[in-house]
Amino acid sequence: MTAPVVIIGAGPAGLACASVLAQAGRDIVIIDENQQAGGQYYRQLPRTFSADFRNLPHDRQGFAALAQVMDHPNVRFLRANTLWAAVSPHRIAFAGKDGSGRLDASAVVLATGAQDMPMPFPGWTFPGVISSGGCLNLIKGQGLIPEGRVVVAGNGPLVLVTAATLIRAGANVVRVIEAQRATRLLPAVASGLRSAPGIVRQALGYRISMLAKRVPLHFGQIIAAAEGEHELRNITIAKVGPDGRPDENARLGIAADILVTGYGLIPGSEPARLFGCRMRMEPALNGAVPERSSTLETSVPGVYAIGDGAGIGGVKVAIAEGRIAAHAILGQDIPAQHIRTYARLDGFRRRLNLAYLHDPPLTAATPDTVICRCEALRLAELQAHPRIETGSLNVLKTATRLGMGRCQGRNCLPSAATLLGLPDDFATRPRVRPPLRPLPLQQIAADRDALPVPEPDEPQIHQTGE
Amino acid sequence: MTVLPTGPDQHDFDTVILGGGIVGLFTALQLARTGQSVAVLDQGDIWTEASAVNAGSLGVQNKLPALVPLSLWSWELWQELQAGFGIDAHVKRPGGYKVAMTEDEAERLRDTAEQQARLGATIEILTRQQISDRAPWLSPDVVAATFSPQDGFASPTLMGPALAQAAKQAGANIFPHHPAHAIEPGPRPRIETSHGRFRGTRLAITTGAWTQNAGAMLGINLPVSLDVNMVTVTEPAPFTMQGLVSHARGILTLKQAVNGSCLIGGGWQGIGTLADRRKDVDYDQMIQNIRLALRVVPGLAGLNALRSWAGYEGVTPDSMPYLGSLPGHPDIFVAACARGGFTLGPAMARLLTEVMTGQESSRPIDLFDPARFHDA
Ligand SMILES: Cc1cc2nc3c(=O)[nH]c(=O)nc-3n(C[C@H](O)[C@H](O)[C@H](O)COP(=O)(O)OP(=O)(O)OC[C@H]3O[C@@H](n4cnc5c(N)ncnc54)[C@H](O)[C@@H]3O)c2cc1C
Ligand SMILES: Cc1cc2nc3c(=O)[nH]c(=O)nc-3n(C[C@H](O)[C@H](O)[C@H](O)COP(=O)(O)OP(=O)(O)OC[C@H]3O[C@@H](n4cnc5c(N)ncnc54)[C@H](O)[C@@H]3O)c2cc1C
Repeated sequence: MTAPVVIIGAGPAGLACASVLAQAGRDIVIIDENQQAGGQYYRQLPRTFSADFRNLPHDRQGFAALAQVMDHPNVRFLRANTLWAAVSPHRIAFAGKDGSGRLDASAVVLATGAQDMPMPFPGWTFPGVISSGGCLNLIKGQGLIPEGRVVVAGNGPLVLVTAATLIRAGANVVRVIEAQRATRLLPAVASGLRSAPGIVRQALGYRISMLAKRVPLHFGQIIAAAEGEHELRNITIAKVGPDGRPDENARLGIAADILVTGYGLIPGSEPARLFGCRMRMEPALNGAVPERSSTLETSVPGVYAIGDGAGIGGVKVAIAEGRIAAHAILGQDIPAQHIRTYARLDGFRRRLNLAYLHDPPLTAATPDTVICRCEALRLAELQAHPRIETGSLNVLKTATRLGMGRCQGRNCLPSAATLLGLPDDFATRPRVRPPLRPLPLQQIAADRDALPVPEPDEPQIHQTGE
Repeated sequence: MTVLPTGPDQHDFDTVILGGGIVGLFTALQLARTGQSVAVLDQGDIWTEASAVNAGSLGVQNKLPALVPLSLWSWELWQELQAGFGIDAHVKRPGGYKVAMTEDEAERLRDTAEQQARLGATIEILTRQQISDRAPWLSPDVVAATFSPQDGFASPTLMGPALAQAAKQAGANIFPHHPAHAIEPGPRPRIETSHGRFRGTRLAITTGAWTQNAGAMLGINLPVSLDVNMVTVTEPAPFTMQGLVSHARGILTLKQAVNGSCLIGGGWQGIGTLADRRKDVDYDQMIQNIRLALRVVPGLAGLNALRSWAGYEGVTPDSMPYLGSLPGHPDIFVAACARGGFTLGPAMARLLTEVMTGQESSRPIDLFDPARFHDA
């Protein structure tokens, strides 16, 4: 019996991959931290919720089609379980409330998705300031709609998604700002009319939602600060200066109760790094990604990386990649039509990502801004730290505890290198250490497949000969 | 032995120190304060190996009895850091519990405690009732425990940058990314690095786990086997565990650091060699380490683990450090491979400083003679 294909992540990428594999009769294990399949784009309300779905932007048909695979007899779903370690590239360790253990895999598919790019600015840690990914999760996953005057600020396609989702859900969005200039975006969008008309149409739909509610959208503006006493009161926005920072001379104060910030999505690169995949920085894919073959296999044989975790591209790219990887795992030629579709979508997302990319990088942090929230480290103290002279983020981490807290560095390390002017290469980045996600000690201890090992050697007792 | 060519790209110092861990940097600080010119060379960045990644225990009870006097003295130096050197490394001395989970272990515990007490440690053997009263967070399955007010811990994170800064202020020169790959012995030994040649009136080898390689550059046998120690850290938690927890058989250390995080160690072994530099976690070992920690302090169970890592520690065949001049090389010294070398680092550096400046060592060092395996 061959071991199953283990897919980490039941988002669009993982589900599309599983569908093709299941149809071919392969055994599949899908692991996801969430109770329900769907990932970010198709995030579902908890089963017990009876919220009014009408205004929530759920692509119910799309999800139903993809999620059929969950009922396939060849599919085993380890819901609410976390992939926390790669014992070897083909033996993974998972943990959950109902038990922990290890699984052998004939192939591993990393479909673990994206994360918000952290964007520190004065006041970003204030209650009432939330990330756009988090905001979308609240709406889609909890049916929670922010109250009061909402401002959406960011850089990237998710700004539109977030604004439209908020508006359709009934939130009072008073202003939307995108940091990139519209003229920079137009050529990429125009190219999408041919290569990705579905995506452009969807974006247009988002834009129309905003126009219908007369929600102003401004390009070339960036968040400069958020203020208030116990809750958010005011925010300051500004023109983006030529240095990528808020222009001192073009600022505007706005009264707001909620600020949603989304300064781009970046691939969640930790799983691939933990598996030992060779990585590289790829601006067209929004960050650190595993090197992949044309069949989306990483440098570690039998380990595939697909979807937003391997390069930002959104739901359609995720699905296309899931299918390609599945055919490769099955040892089949990739159907020509899949290759064509993927090439089109891949070209479009790269152009779009690059069009949104601001050069020099956007920054709104001031010397006093907290960069590492877990350890409360401010930009100035990191800049002034004597160990910064090593040019190594990893040395700075060891010396200051930057990135050592509960977020495991996810909220600080991606932006720290740029803010501190350090090289963002893999030699000087802190290593990814297990567990991949914070995990209760008892769940790690519960690993039913852990092998007994000899205890540490005791130091030989040395006779002092007194 | 290689004969090195002479050339213009040569740096001259009174003392050249190989290795920028706790021993090398502390030695540099002390020598620089005497007015010597000092260079510290490291193959990578300084303070990135054992001294940077260790669990921070400053234990007396977890030391081999023979090293207890040295540990107590090292503690005095740790406590002088702030006043003497302006270094704040969160040094805390709340005392520590050493536990036994079986009757056999309890017997070991008492035996060792007796030996350690004879060598100067203050150790109290607790009744089960005292354990419950004083450390209710210890499991009822702990059958016996001793307490020493002399155990504690410090922050490797804070110690490194502060020590490096102090050494620099005292005038020491630090050369990161200068791996030494050949040594030509004295008079005025020369060290060949990838970035030029260094020459010192004296040379100190403080290369930790790499010390066998350094010895080999001179044809001297300093056997070192590699331990790949692992540590797991949790998220910060409300303060419950007071003091350092250690184990009768030396297989567990536990503490709650100043930021509230709990650190779990005990010498469980990860994967890697000096050549491959993997320092990977061995999951089976890590899990047994965590299981043992939960058996001793069950309250840890719900805490989130944030990170497990591994680092390299060098161990000698008899578990005693190397300290002194190398056989046949009166101007080349070594100080390395003390078990519990973070605790003992300041003492090792003080002894090294003493012997390098021609003083009588203030503690006996004959057990540490670097020549002891050379002829074997
Ligand atoms: C917070 C957030 C919200 C988003 N909301 C939207 C939106 O509303 N609309 C939109 O168009 N795009 C949204 N996106 C963009 C989204 O990344 C893509 O559109 C799409 O969901 C990507 O699909 P995917 O399958 O690659 O990854 P995802 O859909 O992100 O799926 C990845 C899955 O992997 C699981 N996972 C990750 N790590 C582990 C692990 N270690 N162990 C177990 N499971 C793991 C996650 O729980 C998740 O279910 C959002 C992105 C983020 C980060
Ligand atoms: C995970 C772990 C946990 C530990 N926990 C504790 C604890 O809780 N309490 C305790 O007391 N001890 C602990 N120890 C042991 C303690 O950390 C070490 O004994 C001590 O730090 C050794 O210090 P050092 O200066 O000798 O070596 P290191 O700190 O390793 O420094 C040696 C330096 O020499 C450099 N070097 C090597 N070769 C060359 C060369 N050829 N040229 C130039 N430079 C070179 C290296 O790059 C390195 O920087 C632990 C060790 C580990 C690994």
